[in-house]
Amino acid sequence: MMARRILVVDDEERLRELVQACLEDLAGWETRVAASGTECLQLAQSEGIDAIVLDVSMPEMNGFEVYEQLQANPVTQAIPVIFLTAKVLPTDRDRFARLGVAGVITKPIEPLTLTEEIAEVLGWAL
Amino acid sequence: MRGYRPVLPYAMAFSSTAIALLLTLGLEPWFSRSISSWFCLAVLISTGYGSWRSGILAAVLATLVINYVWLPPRYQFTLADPETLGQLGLFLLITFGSDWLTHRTQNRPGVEVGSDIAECQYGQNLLQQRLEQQRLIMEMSQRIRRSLHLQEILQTTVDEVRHYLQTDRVIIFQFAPSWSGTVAVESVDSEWKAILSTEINDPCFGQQYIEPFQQGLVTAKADIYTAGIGECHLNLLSGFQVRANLVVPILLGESLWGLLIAHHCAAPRHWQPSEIELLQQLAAQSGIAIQQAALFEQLQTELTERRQIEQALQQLNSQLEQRVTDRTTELTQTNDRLQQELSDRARLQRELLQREQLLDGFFNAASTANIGLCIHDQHLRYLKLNQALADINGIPISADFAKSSAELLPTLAAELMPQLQQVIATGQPISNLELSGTIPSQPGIQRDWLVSYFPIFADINQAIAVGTIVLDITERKKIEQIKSEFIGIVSHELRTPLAAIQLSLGLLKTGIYNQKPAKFQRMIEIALIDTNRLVNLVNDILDLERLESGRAVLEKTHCQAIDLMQQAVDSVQVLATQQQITLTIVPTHVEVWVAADAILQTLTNLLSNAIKFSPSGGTIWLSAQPSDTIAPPIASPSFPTTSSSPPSSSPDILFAVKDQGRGIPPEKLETIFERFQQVDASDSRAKGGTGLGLAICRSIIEQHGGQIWVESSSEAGSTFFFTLPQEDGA
Repeated sequence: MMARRILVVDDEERLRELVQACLEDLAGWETRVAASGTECLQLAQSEGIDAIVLDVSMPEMNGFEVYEQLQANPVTQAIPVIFLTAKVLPTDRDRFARLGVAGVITKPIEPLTLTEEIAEVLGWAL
Repeated sequence: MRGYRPVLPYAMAFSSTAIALLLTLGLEPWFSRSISSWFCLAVLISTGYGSWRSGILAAVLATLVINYVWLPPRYQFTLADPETLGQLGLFLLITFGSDWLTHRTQNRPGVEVGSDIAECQYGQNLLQQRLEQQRLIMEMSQRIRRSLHLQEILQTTVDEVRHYLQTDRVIIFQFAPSWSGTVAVESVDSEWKAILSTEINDPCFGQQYIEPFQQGLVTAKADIYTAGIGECHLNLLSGFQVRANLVVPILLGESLWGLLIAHHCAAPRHWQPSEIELLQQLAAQSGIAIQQAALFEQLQTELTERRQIEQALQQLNSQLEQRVTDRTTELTQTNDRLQQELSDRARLQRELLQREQLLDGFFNAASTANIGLCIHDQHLRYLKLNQALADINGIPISADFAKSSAELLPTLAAELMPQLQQVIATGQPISNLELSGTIPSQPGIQRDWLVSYFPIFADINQAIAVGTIVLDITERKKIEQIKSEFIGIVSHELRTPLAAIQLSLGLLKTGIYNQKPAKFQRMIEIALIDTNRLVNLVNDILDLERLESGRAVLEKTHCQAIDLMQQAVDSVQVLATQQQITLTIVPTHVEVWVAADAILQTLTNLLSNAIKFSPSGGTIWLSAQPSDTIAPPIASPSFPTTSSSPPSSSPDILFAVKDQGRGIPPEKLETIFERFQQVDASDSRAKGGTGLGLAICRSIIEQHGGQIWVESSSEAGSTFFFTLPQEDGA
């Protein structure tokens, strides 16, 4: 069985590093990282990504815009996307519901909880 | 009495002559020249009492006495004396004259005297009878006339007559128009048949029988069986047991009213002329009494009629008065009612007006509070709306009436009309509905409204109108959005370092890095970096809160600007050196009246920002000089903080921090001093800022009464300016 490969997208360098550490060192999944939406769109097409953990608040292109472009592209359309967000606004919840994203995980979060929630959303075994 | 009656006149002649002699002798001394006077009187009395026979006796006696006593030779008879013969002639003349006069008055035409009463008896009784008769007539007339009641009069008449005549029956027969008649009253002796009320309609009494009575005929039959009357008449009378009768007409003026009839039933009877005369006079009196009674009756009738008429009139009058009173009362009531109705109507109108004014006042008051109000009719046309709603719709108020929302606001019709129709149909209100859209007058501007619809009922079941309350919440929504975004930013800014701390510490706790010191160390480092970031953020938030709430006390002193700038440069020198950036202070001697720590924080913030955004090897200049020595900042929309610069007594000191960085986009120049409004959000991660530095700077400068702004271009970099007072402005 091929290793699961998750793309971690966050403009915050340290958070990117930490999430990557959780997914790789705790869950044992293979990861790729992207510091911006543009980078994410490129990697999602080319790197055989199985799932994307996507930050919402990013400069230039935010998480929603990235998601829309992923959906618009037939190659990336089927990749499940889990939003990881520090925002807790009601309007954002509505937006997540409308978009039909695979899951939403709110920061801050414990490492084990993070991996467990991602595994649950994606139906993967830890 | 009948024996001496014939002699009485002659005795009267002797006695009267004797009295005349005595009187003449006795009065001779006084009346010597009128010797014959007393004797003339004696002759006259003797003739009057008796007849011409006793008169002659008195005349002869008087002549002889006068001849014997007074004619010379006195106390001798000288009969052939011419004076004596003259005397005798005079006395005889008196005798016959008076006798003739007496007879003339007694013998009336038409009176049939069927008896042959002896003349002397007649002469004796005549005067007495007449006197008696007159007395009786007078008494009877009085009794008759005592009453005005006809029946009573007639009854009295017959009673009196029967009593006077000492006869068996007296009746009054009253004719009917056809000359038949009725026995109207009767006085009858109890021995004889009463014929009262008997109607007599005998064919033998015709016009020929009646006519003589109309002429005043009186018939006196001593015995009906020998009087030669008609058989039918005889039969009638015998039927009434009549033997003798006396019939006198009762005339009322010229017309025959009836007959006064005396019946003698026991035996034939010769009716005396005096009796006849009495009956005639009584009949005449009766006629008068009947007329009077008739008149009285007529008068009574008239009076009764008049009284009845008066009563009727009075009744009519009182009825009329009652009707007038009733009508007046009715009119008064109607009038009162009308007055009441008028006053009610006026009151209703006043109330209506007051309500209308109240409603207008309510609508206007709502306008002043920017609450749009309107009422739609069943066809969803505007019935009433206020200025606020007209403003919200962007359509003049006069253009709105009698038009529907669909006509006036076509872009919103699809949303508005179904809701209005629903309210009319269901009678259920719709509350606090948020609507978004544009209005025709401002098609490019998206607006938000909070709308409530409520039904207005005429009765319980049917809504006749819809009331609408509209609030323009565009601004509120914008503010809410800003607030929400701000909360989101704060949340993000707080959660991000917390997330890093939690993840790094969480990973350490799992123990997976216990055997990997480099990784372990890295986790500790990350936790520390983000802890510091969180501390800085919390400090900045608290600083800003203290400054903006006015709780931060600025201890101001006179400071040399150059000292403040040097201290700021010293504090960031390490960072600048790392980035290979030169910090240059333009020398100056100006002083400022400031809280040194706060201004130092401001300068350090600005210098830190300048260092962050300056290219490696770049220079940053700091300067401070009186503001009137350089051109004032350009008042442009990009610098809203400069537009309200107050004049001050002494020139302010203008500080400038100029860099050679990448510059600030024009659209950000306005908001850069707001909280968390960095040019690039990633800067806070990359450069370690909190996003609150410039907000703190602005707050500090404003607390000193100065202004802060920025000028920037992509080529020449950015220059941050702020002004501070030279002296205590207070």
